[in-house]
Amino acid sequence: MNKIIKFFREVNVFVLFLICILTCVEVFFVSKMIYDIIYIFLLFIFMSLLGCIKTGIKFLLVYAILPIAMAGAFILEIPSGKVTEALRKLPIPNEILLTVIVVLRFIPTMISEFSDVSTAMRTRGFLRSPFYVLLRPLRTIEYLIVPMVFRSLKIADELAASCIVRGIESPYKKNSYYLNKVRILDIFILLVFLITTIILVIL
Amino acid sequence: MKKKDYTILDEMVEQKIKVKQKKGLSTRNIMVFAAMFAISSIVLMVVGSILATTIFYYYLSAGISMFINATFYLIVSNRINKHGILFLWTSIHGIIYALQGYMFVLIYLIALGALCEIVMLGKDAYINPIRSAIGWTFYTAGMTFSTVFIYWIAKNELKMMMDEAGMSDTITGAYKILNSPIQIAIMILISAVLALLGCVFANNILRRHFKKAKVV
Repeated sequence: MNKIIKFFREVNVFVLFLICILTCVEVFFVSKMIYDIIYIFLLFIFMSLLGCIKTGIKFLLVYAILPIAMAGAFILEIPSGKVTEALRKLPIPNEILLTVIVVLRFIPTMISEFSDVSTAMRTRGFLRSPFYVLLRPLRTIEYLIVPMVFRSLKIADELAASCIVRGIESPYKKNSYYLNKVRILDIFILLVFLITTIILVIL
Repeated sequence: MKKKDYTILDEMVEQKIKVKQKKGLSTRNIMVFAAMFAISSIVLMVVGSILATTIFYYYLSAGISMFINATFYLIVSNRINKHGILFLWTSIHGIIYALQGYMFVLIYLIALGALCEIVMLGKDAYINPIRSAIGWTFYTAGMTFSTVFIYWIAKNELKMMMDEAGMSDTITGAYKILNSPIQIAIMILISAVLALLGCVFANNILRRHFKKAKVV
């Protein structure tokens, strides 16, 4: 099983982007709920083959009405180095490219920082009840924002230093450890999603 | 290669990096931008999901999010102070939408970013509290209108989806709001006022905490 997962995790990043676009087409143009369910199951199978069966089950149980978010979750499962390598081939300015990659990676970190700050606030009694928060909305926002900003600026500085040391500012052409080649499997996966979307849209 | 040649090569690379940094953003600035943008995205998601099932969603969701996010935007603008911040902010939103398949929103948001940059023309506009507030308010109005834009494009598909899911009432409510120019104007006005108030609040926080700590 591990070999299969490893094999699937080497999927081309552009295939994942195209799956996102096809999912969007499916959501907008397919009218019947049963077809949506079929498509969500297809996404779930693909997610399981990528080795994210737990995330897949969460999506099935909780976010079943959001297949687009499910397709978007594939991108978060791929190593950021591979996404960077793929996006580098697109005509996107380096600043925008780097920002998109860092934002995608930062979101889970920030969610955990938010939970740390809210725990600290609860300990100090700033979140003792919803009524208490509603009476002091601005103060609560301030108590949440200020530590969040300080924490995230520290993380950003450390990340910037790490990136500079690894040569991100080098003006020369960069290569990646990850290869983003098109394989027969990629074409097969894409065809499965493409054909399914076309059939569901026509039906 | 002699030692002298290495020194010349190092100097050339350093010079190239300096020229690049003068033109655009440095890595440190990009990281700060990304961190603030990530927090603002979380705020948008949280506020959106809390208000999603209520009628206030269309009127207050964007406004409340932008009220909170004004602080993050002002930290970025005060710290970086370069033209293109709002353009970058809207473009990243657009690219994230595009990666999820909403390609048409990318075009709208790039156009909005360009308009925001026109609003912010002039020297040191990003560290001027009034100019920053105007830029942020304009951006908020544009972002609020993007909801209407998405709705107009995918109106029929949304209706079919909601009918299938047995949520016809929700879409009927949305129809009423998003088909009436007066309701749309009210929506944008509420968001813009909240964004402006958010900038006042953010400037206050910036003065009391971040400027004192020399973070910006």
